[in-house]
This record gives sequence, C-alpha cells and structure tokens, in this order.
Amino acid sequence: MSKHYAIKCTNCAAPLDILGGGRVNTVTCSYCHSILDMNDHYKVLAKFNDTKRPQGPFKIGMRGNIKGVEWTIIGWIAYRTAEFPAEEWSEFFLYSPTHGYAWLVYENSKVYFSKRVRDFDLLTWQEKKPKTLFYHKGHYLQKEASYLTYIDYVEGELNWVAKFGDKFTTWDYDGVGFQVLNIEKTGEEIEVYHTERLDKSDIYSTFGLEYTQKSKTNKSMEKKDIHTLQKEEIQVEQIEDSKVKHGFLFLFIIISILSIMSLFYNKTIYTTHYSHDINSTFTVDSSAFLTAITLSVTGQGTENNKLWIYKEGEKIFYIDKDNVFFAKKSLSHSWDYDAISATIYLKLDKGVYRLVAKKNPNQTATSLTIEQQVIRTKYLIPLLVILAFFIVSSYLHLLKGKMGIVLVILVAIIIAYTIFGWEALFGLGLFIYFVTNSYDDYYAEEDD
Amino acid sequence: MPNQFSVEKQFNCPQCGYSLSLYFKHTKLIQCESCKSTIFLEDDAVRLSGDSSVLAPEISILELNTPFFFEQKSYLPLGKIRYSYGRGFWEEWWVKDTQNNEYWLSVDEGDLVFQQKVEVTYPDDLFDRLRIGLITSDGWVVTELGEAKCKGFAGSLPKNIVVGSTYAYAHLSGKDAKLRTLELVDGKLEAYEGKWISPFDIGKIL
Repeated sequence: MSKHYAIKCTNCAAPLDILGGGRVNTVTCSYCHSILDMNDHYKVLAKFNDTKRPQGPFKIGMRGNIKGVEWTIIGWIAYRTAEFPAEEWSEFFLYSPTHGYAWLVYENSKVYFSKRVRDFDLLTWQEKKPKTLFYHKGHYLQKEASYLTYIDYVEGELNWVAKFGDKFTTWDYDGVGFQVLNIEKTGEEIEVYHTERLDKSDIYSTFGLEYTQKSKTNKSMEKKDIHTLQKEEIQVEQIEDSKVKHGFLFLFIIISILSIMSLFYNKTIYTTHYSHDINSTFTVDSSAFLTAITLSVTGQGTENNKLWIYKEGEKIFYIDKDNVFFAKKSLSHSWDYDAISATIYLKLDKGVYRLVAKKNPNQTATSLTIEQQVIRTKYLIPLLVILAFFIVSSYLHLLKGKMGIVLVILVAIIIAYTIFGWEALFGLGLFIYFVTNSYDDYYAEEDD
Repeated sequence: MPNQFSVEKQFNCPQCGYSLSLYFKHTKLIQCESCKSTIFLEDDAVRLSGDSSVLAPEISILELNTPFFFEQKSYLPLGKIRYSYGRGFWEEWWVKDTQNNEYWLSVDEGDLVFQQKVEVTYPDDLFDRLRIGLITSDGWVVTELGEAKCKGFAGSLPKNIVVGSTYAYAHLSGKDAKLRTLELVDGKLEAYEGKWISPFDIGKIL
C-alpha cells in the first residue's frame, strides 16, 4: 500500500499519475510509451515505438465497483495469440487498497474479472498437467490445448516488467457459470488466475460508461447472457449431477430388492436322492429369473454323472464331464472332475420337462434339487458394493478427477473375475499398471 | 454471527490512565489507544517502554478488535505490525480464534496469507545458502527473499518489537499450495506455515 502521487516521465516529461499501490514495478508513459522502472529512479527500461493504442471502452484512471469492491484502472495490456494474430483483447490492470490487484478483461465485447490465486496446487499440476481439475469444489475442463500469447500494447502501471512482444503460454480450464482457470507460464514463473464473466451493462454503469444503442437493445440478452445463462448452466450441471446420484440410488434400491428377494423368492420344484439312474419329470410354473439344478454326491465327485433335460421330446440340455449343451449350443465349461457338488443355472420357460440322470457308479448316493425363480447373488453383491461406493463418493466428492479411472478399473475387475475367476486379477493388475504408466508418460511428453 | 470474543482483563495505561482491554492472556505488548504509548506486560505488571509508535492511517480489509469470519470460523484481530519494503508496506496481523489459537495474517496489497507458528529444523546457516528456486531438504521451494523493516505497530502483540529494526525473511511454497515463511530475527530462526486466502473470502461480522 502507498499513497497516490504524480511523477514526470523521465523520457518526455509528461505528467504521470501513480495510482497503484506499493507493488507496482513499472509505469509505461501514455505519451511516449517508455517503460519506467519504479524501483530504480524511473529509469527507462524500454520504449514502444510506433505503437497504436487499441480500441476499447475503458481507460486508465476510471473507477468502478466490482464484486462490492472499489477498483481503479491503473494499467492496460493488449494481447494477441500466435494462432489468431488478428484477434486482440485488452486487459485492464485494477487496483484496490483493500483487495490488491486484479484484471478487467475486455474481449469480443464481453467483460471478465480475473484475479491471481495462490491456493492452487501448482506442484501437482506441473507433474501431470491433467485435462480436468478441481479448484474450490468447482470442476474445470481443458477444452483446448495450451496456446502462446504475446503482448501487443502496454500503458500505465504494472506489477511486473511487460514489454512489447513478450510471450507466455496459457492453459485455460473452463468451469461452470463462465468461470475459467488460466494458468500462465513465462519462463520459469507460473501464475494462476481465476476469471469470471461479468454483466457488461453493470460494469459499463459502474465505470461511468454509456451503453450504446446497439448495446441497449441487447441489454436484456446481455442480462440473460450472464445471470440466466449462468444460473441455467449451474442448474443443468446440478440437475445432471442429481440425475447421476438418483440413478445410482435407483439402481442400488433395485439391486438391493433383488438381493433380498434372492433369499426368499426361489421355490424348490423337484428334489430327489437316488442310487440308480432316474427318468422323471418336473414342471416349471414361472419363467422369472433362473432355474437352478443342484447336484451333490458322496464319494468320487461328479465326474461321471450325466444329465439330460428334454422338453416336448426335444433335448434342450445335456452335461457330462467333457461337454455341456444347452438350447442347441455347445458350451465350453463343464463341472470340475473332483467337485462333489455342482449348480447349473438355466433360463427355462414355463412347462413340463423330462429329466434323465445317470449316476457315477462309484458314488453311494446322489441328490438332485431343482429350484425356480433363482436370483444369482454372485453378480448382485459386487454390483451393490460398487453402487454403494459411487453413491457415497458422489455425495462426498471423494474421487474427484480420478472417478472415471476408478470406475473403469472396478468394472474391469468385476468382468475379469466373473469371466475368468481370480486368476484374471493378476493379469488385470499388470494391465492397470501399464495403463496408468502410459497415462503419466503421455502427460510427461506433452509437458516437454 | 454473534461476537464470541470477550475481554479477559482490563487495566489502565500507566501514562494517561486510559482503560485498556486485553482479549488474550499471552499479550506481551500493547499500544495505548489514547496516548499511543507502548506498554510491556510482564506477568501482572505493566511497564512503559518510553516509545510511542503512530502508524499513518491506511485502508485495510481488517480492523483492530473487530471480528471477521473466514471458512465459517470467527477471528479477532488483536494487533498488527507494519513492515516497509521501500515504496510500500505490508502488515502482519496477530489474530486469534474462539478457541484462543493464535495466527498471523499477512496482508500485502490484497494478498492474504494465513499462518501459524511451526517448529522446523534447518541448519544454522540456512539463510546464507537460500536463493530463489532452491528446494529445501524437506521439499519446499524458495519463492521470495527479502528484508523487512518494522515501521511500527498498533493494538496488542505476543512479542516485543523494536520499531526501525530489520530482519531477513524467506517465502517458500510447498505441496498442496502450502506456504511457509522463515524469519531470521536476532539470529534466531522462526517459521510460520499456512495458506494463501482470497480477500473475497474474508467476511465482516455484522
């Protein structure tokens, strides 16, 4: 903080008001465009020759209220990007004795307020340069690649030495409600700015500017542009967020009901203990869910058992130690040789079925039970755990940007386990290790 | 939000007799609001230092003995020290919360850093070796080095200060946007750790 005062340009003797507190380092003369060093007797650091002041509604010395704080415009920089050199925008350096320095950005007739933040975890960002990030509970997405910006015009006070043609790289992350996080790198120095769009008519009014007729006709649209659109965008995100949460919750309830039903809903429709081959019938009176056939033996295992199921004289299911056949298709996996029990799940329609079973001669007894309306908890329980995990994490915002990766890994684990069993998890672990390493390498390369 | 801070002790200025309020028992130094005399507090005794320090009034986001809230907690600014860096100055505000935890809030042209004193173990000659960009053995990056000159104080403080004295300081950045300040005061290293906060996050308690 310091008092306002006036100096004379050490190059052209033009009077220059110093408005901007103790942290300004340079002032660029509005007349001769010499950059004067505030810390070294206003020594001329550089001069802009033949520079042309850009068009813009704001001027140095104007005062206005933004976000409840009185600001004075003390400096002005115009920028261009290397990619689109025809497009220029202006940033007006603001000063407030209580809130320090900020920027009023004027681009494509829109106005934004931008202020440096220092609570962004830059060290982590520099390691990975992620495409999405979280800042103050807001989610930000990098929609475009980083771009190169250079300075086209400088006037007034600044808190660093800015010269014509100086370049820096910017990474923009878009958030909701027209908020942007700008990460700017000049040499080794990196700064982060939080930018938000302002209501143009309000800003024109507070800085004492008159709205043009064209602007006035667009005033209602402008109002809608900021207030309504911001609100709508936030509402859309909240609704989508809410939809996801409710979706998870709905699925959780459905699967919970199914899990509970699985305990009580199944109905035994046939049961027998036999010590010789059997040829019998059973009736399925509900086609809901699955029909389970459970075979258990004493002695040498199920290896030499054989089972046929017929409907209306046609074979629809067969199993022995080597083959499984169901609904005109051969299946690959039969029961284990040394298993002493096996459960076969079939999707059977209502109707009367014939069951033929040949027992293993080494077994003293075999029991066979057929249940209908069976719900398999093997799939339901892991799904319940995953859904509970996502419900909790979506309410507590625990996983943040890694949510997608975690989701993919969890789903992959479930699929791998259900298809290949526990052995698959080792291979999956290697795969995840490879993917995460590639992910890091990708961003490291982009960094370079 | 109600004012949850109460006066712990009252005494009269030994110079002018003005009634002074203490909000915190660990106060070591207080400035008389009336005659601006500097008063040392030693146990239950009060002693005039013979100095008086009058700071030029400046607009600030904080006000002495006026509570503010930040992140849903109330704080009371008890005192401030003003340091010069040549053309300008910054202020270090001594604040406490409702549980009597002490903090230092640095206010420098709208940049606010909220810190608490921490114990660190660095070699004695650390300040001789510090340079911008250096990474310390515990992973902190040096971002700024400078010298502070005390211009004066107001309110009450937990330590004695000498107006016009100087000390070397270093600002460091760490993981999770943490900030650390090292100060070399009379050959003794003091460390403070905390975070940057936005001035827009400081709220007045009405």
